[in-house]
Amino acid sequence: MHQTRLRVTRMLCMIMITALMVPLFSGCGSKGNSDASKGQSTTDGQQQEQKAADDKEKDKKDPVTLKFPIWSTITEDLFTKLDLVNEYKKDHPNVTIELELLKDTEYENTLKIRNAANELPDIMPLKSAWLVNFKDNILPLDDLEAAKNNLFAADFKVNDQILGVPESQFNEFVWYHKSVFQEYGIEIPKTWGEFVAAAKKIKDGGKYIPIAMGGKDAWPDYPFNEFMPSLVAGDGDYWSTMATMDEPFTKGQAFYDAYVKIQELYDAKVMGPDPLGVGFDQSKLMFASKQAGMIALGQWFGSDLKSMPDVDMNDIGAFLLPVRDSVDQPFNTVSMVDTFYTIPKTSKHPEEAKEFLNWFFSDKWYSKYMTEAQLQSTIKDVKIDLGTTFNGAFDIPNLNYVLNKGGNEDYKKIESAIKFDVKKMGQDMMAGKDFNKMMQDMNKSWKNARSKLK
Amino acid sequence: MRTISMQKNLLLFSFLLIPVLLLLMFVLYPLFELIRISFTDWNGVDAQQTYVGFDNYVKMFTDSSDVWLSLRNNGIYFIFHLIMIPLELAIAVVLDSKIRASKFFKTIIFMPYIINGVAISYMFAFFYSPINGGLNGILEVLGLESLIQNWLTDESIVNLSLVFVSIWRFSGFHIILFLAGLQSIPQDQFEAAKIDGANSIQNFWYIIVPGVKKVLEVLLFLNVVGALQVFDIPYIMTQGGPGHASSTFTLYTLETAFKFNSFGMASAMGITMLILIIVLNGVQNKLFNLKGVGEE
Repeated sequence: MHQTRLRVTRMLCMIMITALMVPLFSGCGSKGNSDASKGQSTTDGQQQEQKAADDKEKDKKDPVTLKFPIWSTITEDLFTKLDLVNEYKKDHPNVTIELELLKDTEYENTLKIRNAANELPDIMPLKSAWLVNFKDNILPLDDLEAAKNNLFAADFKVNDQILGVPESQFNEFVWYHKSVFQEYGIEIPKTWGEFVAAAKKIKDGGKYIPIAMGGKDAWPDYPFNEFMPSLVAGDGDYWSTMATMDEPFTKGQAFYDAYVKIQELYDAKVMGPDPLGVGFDQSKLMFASKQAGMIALGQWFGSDLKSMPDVDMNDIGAFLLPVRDSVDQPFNTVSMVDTFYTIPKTSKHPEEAKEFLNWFFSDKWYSKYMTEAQLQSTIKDVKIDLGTTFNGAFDIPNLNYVLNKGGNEDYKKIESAIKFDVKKMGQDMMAGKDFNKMMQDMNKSWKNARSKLK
Repeated sequence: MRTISMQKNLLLFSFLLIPVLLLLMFVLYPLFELIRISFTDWNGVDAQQTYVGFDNYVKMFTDSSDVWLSLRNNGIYFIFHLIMIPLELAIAVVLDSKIRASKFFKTIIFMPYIINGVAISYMFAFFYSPINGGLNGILEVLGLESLIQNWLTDESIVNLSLVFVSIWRFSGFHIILFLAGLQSIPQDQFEAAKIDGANSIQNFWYIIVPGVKKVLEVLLFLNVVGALQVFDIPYIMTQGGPGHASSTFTLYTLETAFKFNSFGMASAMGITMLILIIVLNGVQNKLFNLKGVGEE
């Protein structure tokens, strides 16, 4: 009896151990095994066949899949409409483009996480400000044809290397309802004072919200809080300039002066009863349904507007945001260069990815795509027809384009140390936080962070 | 005999091997890695990680005042949930007595806890919305326009609005825990008390409260952890805004890591939170002198 029990226990023991060990070792060993079995299967006769097949295959290229993430639903719609994947397949039958839409607000984070796992895609669009962050992980593209033909690629060099080829160039506008301006007899404002006065006039009418603002999401205040300091300074790389100053939040400095203007606008309460309670989606609907007279957003908003039902595009106009104090001064306006196509160093198919970029920026695709997107070209000698919406918007004497840049490494270090977030500052300003105290505090922490720069 | 004990050990070892391996791989290794990274200046992208000693721990509290603001906001969640605990116990006692439709009330009270947190946050975001929002609508109908507020954008009340959502969501769960505790109190204690002529307040104080001490201990621990880790409600409803007015320590950590590329600093914040939870829980247990029935 005792012996039988012992035997049963022993058997159970063996079964349990085997059951537990098998998955463990099979998991570790599977790769090696399959390689070994592959090796065994290639006998001499087969080797010869393989050689013959290889010769044939030389004409045909191996199938390649290029992973290509994007952050915007607008881009996704355009790529689907113009059938990017199949268009490219026509010229390169062996290459499949695998598009992946990532959530816009999580795009950079997703890439960082994938980078940690060495799983970056083959083609990686980035915003200009992220080029510095990924500088060690992407290939230099100085020799790429598409980069040589690009008007702006060289302006965004990092460590004297072109790391990304920008797709589009666009300006920042104030979109408005022509009928609302007519109703109140408002002319297109040419100075900051006129702009604020126009908004106040609409507010006094009591019928419309003058400017729609999705302050709840923070980012929609970027035309003011992010771009105005560089416009007041007339310096597109103002963040880098700020990184050379100890106290840029002092009266007389461009940042301070721009923020005084912005505070004036927010204090005029021309953004509805509670701009911080409204998200971007709500704000754009408010503008589209003519509850609001104006909205300040980039050129990209045009295709968004067109896709919305019941919007009378003939009633929509756009003008450049004036930040100057008088008409005698130059009219500075932001020129944004966006969506930098990069190729990660970890890409398994860098040559194919480069070929794709050359195709993307060639006549076969680029003009068609940009016309559909209603954005300006970054490629030499390619002009895009932008329709009538922007008629007259650029007919301004003294117009001066300020090419917006994301800031250098010193700036990034300070930004990260003090968690410098102009969009959140915008929210604070809308909420009525003490402006002078905010500027003093910023000066203090900026100076402190700068002193620790290596 | 020796073989039996060996077999026994072998069996135990093989049963424990995989769970222990999993634990090492997915719990302990990441924890040690987190501690290691907290002493570096890693930005999350670079291959290079420079060791900076305790720099991150010092800078966390000195470089920006927002961290204190975030911790204060965590404190608001902690205090209000703490204040709610006696009330939750009282409701549990009422529900435990023989009232009509007590099952129905129990279901209603527990319901918020089983609804997805994200859904709750969205629901309340619309409820508090300044445009066509439910709360302001109700106030208007009742003729209480003077009470209409910017619930999520006024810095002075945004945290209270969010705490209310948190209480709405978690109180039901606490009440159910108390109910379970109450039901585990033997009936004969109440009967003995009745014979001794105890009134209901004495019943509450001398039988119910000691009877649910174990539950109370769990709840206080959950409160500390919950209040320090609160994330989904402010993240979805306000994104920590306006500015950093409704930011919490977890939101701030997330922002540090992903928005400002300071993974080293964010790891230090994670470790700090771990320490804070352990310390606060210890202090709390000492203060309330918590020991369950039968352990005294």
